[in-house]
Amino acid sequence: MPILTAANLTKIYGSQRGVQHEALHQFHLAVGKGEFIGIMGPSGSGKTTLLNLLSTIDSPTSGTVTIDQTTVTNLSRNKLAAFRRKETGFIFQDYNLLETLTIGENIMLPLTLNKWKVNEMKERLQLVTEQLGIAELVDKRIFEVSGGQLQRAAIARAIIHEPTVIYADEPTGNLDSKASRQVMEALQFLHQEKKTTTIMVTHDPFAASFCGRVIFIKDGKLFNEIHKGDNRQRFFQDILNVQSILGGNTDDFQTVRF
Amino acid sequence: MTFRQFAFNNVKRNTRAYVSYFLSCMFAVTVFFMYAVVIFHPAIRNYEFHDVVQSGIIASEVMIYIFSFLFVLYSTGTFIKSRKKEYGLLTTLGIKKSQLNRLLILENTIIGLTSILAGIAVGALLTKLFLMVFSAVLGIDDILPFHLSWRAIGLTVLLFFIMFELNTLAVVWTLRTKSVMEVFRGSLESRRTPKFSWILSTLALGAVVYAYYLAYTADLISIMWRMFPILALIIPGTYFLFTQLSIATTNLLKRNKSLLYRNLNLLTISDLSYKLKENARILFIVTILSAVAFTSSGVLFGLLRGVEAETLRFTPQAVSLLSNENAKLEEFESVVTDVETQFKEQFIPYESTLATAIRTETESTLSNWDKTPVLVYGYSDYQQMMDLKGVEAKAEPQYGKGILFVQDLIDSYTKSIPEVIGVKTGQTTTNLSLDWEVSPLNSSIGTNVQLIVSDEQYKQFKQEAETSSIRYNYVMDIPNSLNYATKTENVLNQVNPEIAFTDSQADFYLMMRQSMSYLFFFGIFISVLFFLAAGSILYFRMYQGIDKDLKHYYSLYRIGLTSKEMRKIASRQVALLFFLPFSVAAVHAGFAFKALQNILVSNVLIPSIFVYSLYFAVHFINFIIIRNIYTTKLNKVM
Repeated sequence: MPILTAANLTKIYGSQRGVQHEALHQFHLAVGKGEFIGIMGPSGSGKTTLLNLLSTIDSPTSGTVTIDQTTVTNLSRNKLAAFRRKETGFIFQDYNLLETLTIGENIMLPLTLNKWKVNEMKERLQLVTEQLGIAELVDKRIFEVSGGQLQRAAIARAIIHEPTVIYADEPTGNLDSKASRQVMEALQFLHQEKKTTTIMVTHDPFAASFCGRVIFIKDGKLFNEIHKGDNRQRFFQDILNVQSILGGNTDDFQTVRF
Repeated sequence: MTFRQFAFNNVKRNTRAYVSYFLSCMFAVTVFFMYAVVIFHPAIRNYEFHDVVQSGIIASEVMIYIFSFLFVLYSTGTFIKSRKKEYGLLTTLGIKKSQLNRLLILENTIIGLTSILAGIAVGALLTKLFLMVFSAVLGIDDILPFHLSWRAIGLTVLLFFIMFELNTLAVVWTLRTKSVMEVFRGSLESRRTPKFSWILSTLALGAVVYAYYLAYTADLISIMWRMFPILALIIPGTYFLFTQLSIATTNLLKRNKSLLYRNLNLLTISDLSYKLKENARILFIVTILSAVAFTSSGVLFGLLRGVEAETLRFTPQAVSLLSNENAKLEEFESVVTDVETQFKEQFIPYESTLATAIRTETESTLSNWDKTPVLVYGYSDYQQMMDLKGVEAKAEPQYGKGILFVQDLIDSYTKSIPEVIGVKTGQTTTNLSLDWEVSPLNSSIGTNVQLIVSDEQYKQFKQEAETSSIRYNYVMDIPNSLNYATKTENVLNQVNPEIAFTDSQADFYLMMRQSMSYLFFFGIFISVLFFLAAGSILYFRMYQGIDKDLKHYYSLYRIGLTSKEMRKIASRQVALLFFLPFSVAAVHAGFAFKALQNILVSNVLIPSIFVYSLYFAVHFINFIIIRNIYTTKLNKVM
């Protein structure tokens, strides 16, 4: 029983009269509970569009998205916001942390919006930050910590309210390789230990190699899909292979080949 | 696209941002121009008040000009600086500093010229109305004809053009463009935790409270020397109130975790401390401008409304004619008969009585009260005068005692009143022990104080006194005397000043009303100008910050804040920016009104409430418009 289903998703940008561009064409996707799935593809392939549609930030031109038996594409904007706040967690390339708040306050923000009690909030904060190794940073401000720590704080915020699905949009895009590894290991830990369902868009084959399954998109359509076996190194090589078949804008790919 | 077109398009496409600045400049030009029209009006030279009005207008013009200068300097400065990033981009495209300067000067010249032209056009449309109001206020019978002199137009264009150019040059010269690197790296200035000092917060609060105390307890005399200390306390006090105490308050709020972590509070309160810190200077400027606008319009309006009450206070008797030293009784009586006849002809209802008095001097050990000219009345005459007004007289003083009547406001504050005073009659001096109260009689030239003694005492004084010191005081009471002010004044103007000194409510009233009208007329436009400028600064601020705010709200949207909640937060914050300075200014002005109330007898509460509500209405409309612009923009990002 998939926890998230996308059926016939089509997204057309541009006005009725003006130039239209079909970013996504009748796309189907089913994500099982506890799955860690990566979405890859060249620039303009429609992967960010797909993530925005799956995560309810954008609405499709046609087709439906169902999350945990709720057809979110039918919800009003306000209900969507409420749904997002309870059922989904987000991790962004730019961290999307509020600079007016401390790290801890940022992480607790979804809980305050859902009107939790102060003590419960603090307990949960303690728990989550310890799991992610950022417990000592909670009173720090955004500009005082490194990118990798910021992204782990963002992950903490995304999971603190135990959402149904976590969406990650290029979570390692702004990070160096060491920080990337830390962040991906954190996501892998959550996936393995807490069975969180994670959908991640990425350019980075290294980051994608942490997923259980990677789907490739080209020109708004599914191009290929590969599953991880028991070896991450092998999976990484597979991803690179698909990427080179995929072609597209070569500048998207790493020039280094193994 | 030529260089000039580029500049023109920059202005045209930034209209939304420029609009309030433009309107404020335009209003300044309009007001300046309308006053200038009056100065150069050919018909005005024929009026006797020409000189007074002329200098009043010139003073107003100077104030408007200076204020506009500062306002334009500030606005141009912030506006140009808010576009630094754009200039950085132009720099990467290879614009030379001289070209950039030319661009900015060109842009500002376009805005300046447009607002001058628009201001003069609006001024020309309103001139007729302005002249009508002007004529009515100054009591000119025939309205000044519509006349736009080229000199008025020329003066306005010239002065304001110079002003815009000078300001632009000043701003351009001090502008430091960011380096290309800075532009691409984006702003690195992080929002550090706002800091504050407890000492400064306490001092600020103390200064404001003490200034309030000074104003609250001020009277006519002490306000003169308290004025400066009050300003010296309130202005820096307000500044630190916004930069320090406001942060202290939000930090205290933040300590209360159960309050802080409740629903939207976390976002609202932590944003608040940043907003307050970032906008402290704006809030301060807006507060001071609004406070000046409230206070001056309230005071002006209060004075204008209070003319009647003040007239009755300072001229308790409707009409009084006091015979002069050398006037004979027959001459005086014929003057009185003339006045009575004319009153009857003009259908002015009146009752009258004639009192006699002895004009003499006092003797006292207090230098203030030595050799003070005084009019001594017998008790019966005093009683008659009180009966005429329908006021209860005080009890008759015993022999050897007296009641001293002193001038309201002036004597009662400045001079301490002695318990015993000597009265010189002829060669003898009699010591009387004194009661005193504020005079219920009109004052007259040379003798501001009156003394009431028992009839027996008076008889004795009269025997001792020289004949030349006897005065006759003819007193009239006119029901609703102010309704007949002009007629009364006309009659009294014909009285020969050699024979009788006249004093009347009509005279005082007309004079007060005229001078208060002048004051009101000149002051009110300037107050409104201040208020508009304050509004425009707020609009500016909101506009400048909107991009940063939108980014902030987009972050919130992505983690699932509903648009309703977002509008709520945004409304609260815009409301704060609007109503915090308004409220502080209102309280400031409130204490100024209290000081005014201490001086006047007329009630300033109603005029001040009127002023507040009027400004509040304008401010509220302004708030609604700006909030709507803001939330519409918000909705677009989502």
